[in-house]
Amino acid sequence: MTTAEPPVISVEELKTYYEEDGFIRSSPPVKAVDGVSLDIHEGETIGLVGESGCGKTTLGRTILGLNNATDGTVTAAGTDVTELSGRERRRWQRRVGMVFQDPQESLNERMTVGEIIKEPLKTHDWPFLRVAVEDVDAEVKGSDVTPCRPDRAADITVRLRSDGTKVNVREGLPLTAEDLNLSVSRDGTTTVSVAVKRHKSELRRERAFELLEQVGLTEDHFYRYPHQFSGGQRQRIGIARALALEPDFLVLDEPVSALDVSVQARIINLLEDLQDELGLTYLFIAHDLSVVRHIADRVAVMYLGNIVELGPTREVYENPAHPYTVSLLSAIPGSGSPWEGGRVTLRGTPPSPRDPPAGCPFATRCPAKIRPDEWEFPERTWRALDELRVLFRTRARSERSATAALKSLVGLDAAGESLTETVEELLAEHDLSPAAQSVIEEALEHARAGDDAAAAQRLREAFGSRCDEEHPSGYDEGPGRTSACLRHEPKYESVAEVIAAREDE
Amino acid sequence: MARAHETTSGTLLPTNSPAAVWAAIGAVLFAAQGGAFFGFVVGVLGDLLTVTPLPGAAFVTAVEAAVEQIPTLLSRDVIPNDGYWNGSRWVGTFLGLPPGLAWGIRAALVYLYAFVFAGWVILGYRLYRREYRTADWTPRDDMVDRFRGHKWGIFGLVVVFMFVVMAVFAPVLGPTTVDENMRNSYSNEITYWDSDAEAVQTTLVGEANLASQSRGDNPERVLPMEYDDFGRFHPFGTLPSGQDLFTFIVSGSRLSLVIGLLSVGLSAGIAASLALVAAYYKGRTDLGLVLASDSVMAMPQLLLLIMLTTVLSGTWLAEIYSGGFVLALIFAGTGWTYMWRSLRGPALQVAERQWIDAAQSFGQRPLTIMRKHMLPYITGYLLIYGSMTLGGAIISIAGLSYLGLGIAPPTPEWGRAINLGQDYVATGSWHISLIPGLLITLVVTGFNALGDGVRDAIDPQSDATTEDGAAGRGGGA
Amino acid sequence: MSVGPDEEPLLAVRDLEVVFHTEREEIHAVDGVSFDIHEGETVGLVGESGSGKSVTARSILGLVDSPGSIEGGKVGFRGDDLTDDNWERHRGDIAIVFQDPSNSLNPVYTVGNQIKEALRIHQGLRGNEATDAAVGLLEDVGIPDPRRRVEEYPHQLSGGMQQRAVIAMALACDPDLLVCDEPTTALDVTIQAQILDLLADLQREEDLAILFITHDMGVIEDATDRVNVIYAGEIVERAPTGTLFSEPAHPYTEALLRSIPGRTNAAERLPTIEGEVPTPTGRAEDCRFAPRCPYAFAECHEMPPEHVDVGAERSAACLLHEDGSEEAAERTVFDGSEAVSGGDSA
Repeated sequence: MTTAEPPVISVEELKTYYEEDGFIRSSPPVKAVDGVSLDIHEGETIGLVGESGCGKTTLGRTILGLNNATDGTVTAAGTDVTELSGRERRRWQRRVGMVFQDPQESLNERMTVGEIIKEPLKTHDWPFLRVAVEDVDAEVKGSDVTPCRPDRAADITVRLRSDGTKVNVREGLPLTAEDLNLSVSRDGTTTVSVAVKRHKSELRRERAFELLEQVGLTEDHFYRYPHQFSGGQRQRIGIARALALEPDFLVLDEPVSALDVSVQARIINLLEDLQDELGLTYLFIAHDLSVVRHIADRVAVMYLGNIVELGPTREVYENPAHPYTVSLLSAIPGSGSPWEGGRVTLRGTPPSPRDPPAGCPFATRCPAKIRPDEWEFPERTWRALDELRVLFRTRARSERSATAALKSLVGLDAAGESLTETVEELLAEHDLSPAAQSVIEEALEHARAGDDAAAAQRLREAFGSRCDEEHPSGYDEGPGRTSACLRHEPKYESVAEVIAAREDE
Repeated sequence: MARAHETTSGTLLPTNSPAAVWAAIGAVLFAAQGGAFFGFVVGVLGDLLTVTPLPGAAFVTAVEAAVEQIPTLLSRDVIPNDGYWNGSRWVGTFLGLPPGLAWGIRAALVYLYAFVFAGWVILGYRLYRREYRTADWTPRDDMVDRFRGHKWGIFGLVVVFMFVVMAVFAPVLGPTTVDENMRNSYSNEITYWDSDAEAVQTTLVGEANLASQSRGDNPERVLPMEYDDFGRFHPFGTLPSGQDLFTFIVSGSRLSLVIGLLSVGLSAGIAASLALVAAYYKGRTDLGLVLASDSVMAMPQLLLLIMLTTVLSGTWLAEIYSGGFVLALIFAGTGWTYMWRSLRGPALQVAERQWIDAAQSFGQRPLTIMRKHMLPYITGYLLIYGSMTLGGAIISIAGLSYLGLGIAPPTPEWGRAINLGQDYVATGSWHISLIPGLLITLVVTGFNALGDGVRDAIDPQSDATTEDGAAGRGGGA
Repeated sequence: MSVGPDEEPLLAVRDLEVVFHTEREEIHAVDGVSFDIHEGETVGLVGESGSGKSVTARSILGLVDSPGSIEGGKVGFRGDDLTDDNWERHRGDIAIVFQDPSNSLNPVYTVGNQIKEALRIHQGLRGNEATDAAVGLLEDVGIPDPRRRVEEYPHQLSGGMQQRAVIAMALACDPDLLVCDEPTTALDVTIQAQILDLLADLQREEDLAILFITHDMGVIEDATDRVNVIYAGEIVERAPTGTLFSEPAHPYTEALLRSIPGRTNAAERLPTIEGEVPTPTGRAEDCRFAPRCPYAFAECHEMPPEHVDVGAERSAACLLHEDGSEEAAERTVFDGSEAVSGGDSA
């Protein structure tokens, strides 16, 4: 795996939004992937980590063609695969495989294991049996074979020599030269007719047996139903199915999350073995950081549809650059955790992907957020103010039940009073300057009038900083490492220092 | 991939190939009654085609006639129920038994044959499952086992089976035929013993019918299980027109069954396809179909029926099954919405499963996904709602015929029998309305019971994963 | 929370047996499980799927339904044997938090409504009093803007908030013991950290005892004082948390710890355990882990091991620790860092 070669897959500014598919669109789209750029090199394992709702699964699915991209490109072998549809897209899906998360759910219970593994083969009428004729310009005929395009690898190579024709079948196909009938006719143009003595369905069955063995199962599992297998074995079946069409690239969507630890280990070993044996490239999506650490060469950390940090695994884990990565690593429980410092517990919950913050997506929870210079507050106070802003934003976005709306109409609304109470409780122990107090009063006014969005806006104007305005682009933090945090600009203190300092406060 | 056996546990015959024995038995059974089966199939098709302006109608009639020539074991010729009582003994009857008993024997033998045939099929299935199937266990096995223990469902199955047998073997079951007794009654003759003249006389069937009418308390009325004055046995008595009620019923059953199956089959086909399409594409497609089905549901079925029947009367469409085909089409066209509604839920649930995603991920085509990965999961519901709808269709047809709207006379239909007898319900001819009414109730209950049994056997709970999330984690590799 | 060994345990489970009778077989999901929980301490119960830990949790609360039933042993709570039909007497003293909060909350009632239901049953509060108490509980579990949240429906809350609401419901009955069955498994790791902090805080403030059930060894290490390791319906090792992780005494614990990816160098293969977890269909006649154990010897397949003390307040059910055993003489307590053959079977 070298970075000098062109990447196998190149993702650029990819955006995937989920729109409501009705006749009337009433809510803003869910911005699952919001501008992601990533290069994947041949033979490497890229880990994609993040919490639920960060868009990692959607990213994997968009690359595969299961979701339609809203914007941006995914380039593979010179073509933008997001533009493909119909047959072209199905062609692309031959080259990429996907392993799904839930072994109980990803296999059709009513089909035997053999049928499940053979299904991709049947769909694409595998094997394609591409025939290439060497040295001579010849036409290829035959109902079971197709002529091979010059840029592709051939399955069957025919050499027409003066001392006879030689046929070569590539390894990996359950076929030998004896299974073929060749005849050459040379009147005008040379025509090579190839007939295959064995039925394609037979070849498919052999391939299925081969795959079963490759993933560590046996031939008589072919006839059984998924119900009769354990979770780990079912996941093996899913892996076999993903490998059926000989893809070069696999997207693994949380393949071991639903398995016990001891089973997990076996599947991870299997995946590593298969990668070595077959020269596969993996996009390994997971939320379990220890697993990713073990198997991935590079890791990309996602938050709210953006990649916030990318780099070689060891370096990212030992020396995380982005505040989110720091929090993520520090949250891993137990002594097996790669993090040695104290826990940096994040407050609150991630914002909704329907309404991502303008500016840095992590701004609402960041432990290293840049604070504006005008105010001099201790970190605790800043956090309380952050919470207040989140409070107003959540209120602005939340639905009002019919009873609440009625109540406010009739004037029975105690919400105004309770709001003041809540705010007072929140800011009780904090010493705010009169200027700050007046800002908060203004915001409260807006809120009491029913305009929570304006209240949040007022607070943002006063207490916000660059982090709320600018969406940070990736900063170069070392060879092959990028991190999207404004603090990487030289004028600011480093992330690690700030976090340490604030934790002490 | 049949496995070799030296001894097969469970088979009584020390044979190496139970399948061959089973097939041989089947051949014998089929040879015995093959003519009747063919007759049924050709008869149904014939009724369908004879009135359409399609070529081949004449061909079908010719085939029908030829099929009737095929000798069958349990036919009217082998066990006839004619003959007469000459005052001291039975003359010309089957084995010297009263004609009524002869009829009873024939009917009983037909049903016996039917159950033996069913038993042979079940035996074949068990043989296949035990010896010849490669898989040790399939998800269907659990369902079949559950159904076997469901008493109400088995009851339903038996009733439905008997109803179907009645429809298939109708020409043999009746003491007389529709042709002889109803359609061409003035072209056929019967012989009877005239007790006054002490001799055998001949008369037209039509005339005999006129003298056997059941109209209230009149003396000529023929009650169930009685002989009329002409020595004919009437298991269900006679109609006000004098025709035999039992023959009327059995041939009417054929009509009910065929129309019912046709309309439910069409309905189910439309409903299932649309449900799968709506569930697969979701979004606007689903919304559009919901609107469409709501619109169709809003149409008044009865008014539509009356309108269409009137509009189409006189055309060839209305001739098929005496209007039954039109009925079936209308039922299908307006009834698919209910089945679609019921199937839409399960279909949407199946569409959410991860194996659908998996199939899409390697480029499987939508139609194949719907067929392979979604359809098997709704066939259960299809069976349930289909069997219940079939019962509903039969009742609807009967009801419409009762109102005079459905099947046109003189084609026999159960509802019409009820209509014909409604004036006499409280009189001595109570049997005319009561018997068809009871039969309709029984048959429809049977269908519903079958649906219940299938539903419990399918039991989607057992398909789902365990509800304990932690247990959903995979153990073992 | 340190506790004197002479004090009466709050919860004393002794030889608990829970059997499931299905059409095909009898499954002894819990087969002779015993452990104690003292006031104010957090005890962990760790095992993989099929180990019987969830069934144990449910049986403490009397939630085991047919086809399963408690067929032996006792669950002693403050001296009363709950299995003697005493569940109702102690409802409200023990509360449970399940794994998936979206399953524990009724989607058609507001969060406040559900908390108030618990308050009404256990504390007899009604009306505004109940609402205030509910708001207070939501605040205690760290939900911001509780006055507003109390009127919201579960789907309007995120996963972490839902789980907090479930904990609030559990606290509504003012329990002495909180049973948590995989409470953070369905949550993200940063939210998990929050919930673990919350539980630690609540324990301090309310003097709660917690039974923490999970399969995640890392969580156990951080969140518990003492641990019981359960395998195929039996407890195979008991120890204070720190000691278990540094010096496991039972081969299963050792193997489990080794399987954790974080403990192995990224360049090496992960060590694995061969074989599969057995489904116990009868009472134990041998060591259930023996077929998979790298240290198994002849007696292991013949008799079920009893618990043996292997140190201060710890025991393990393994013949290797029996006095007089030859193999025991060779190895006493395992060193957690020893490398045994890594690699799995195909």
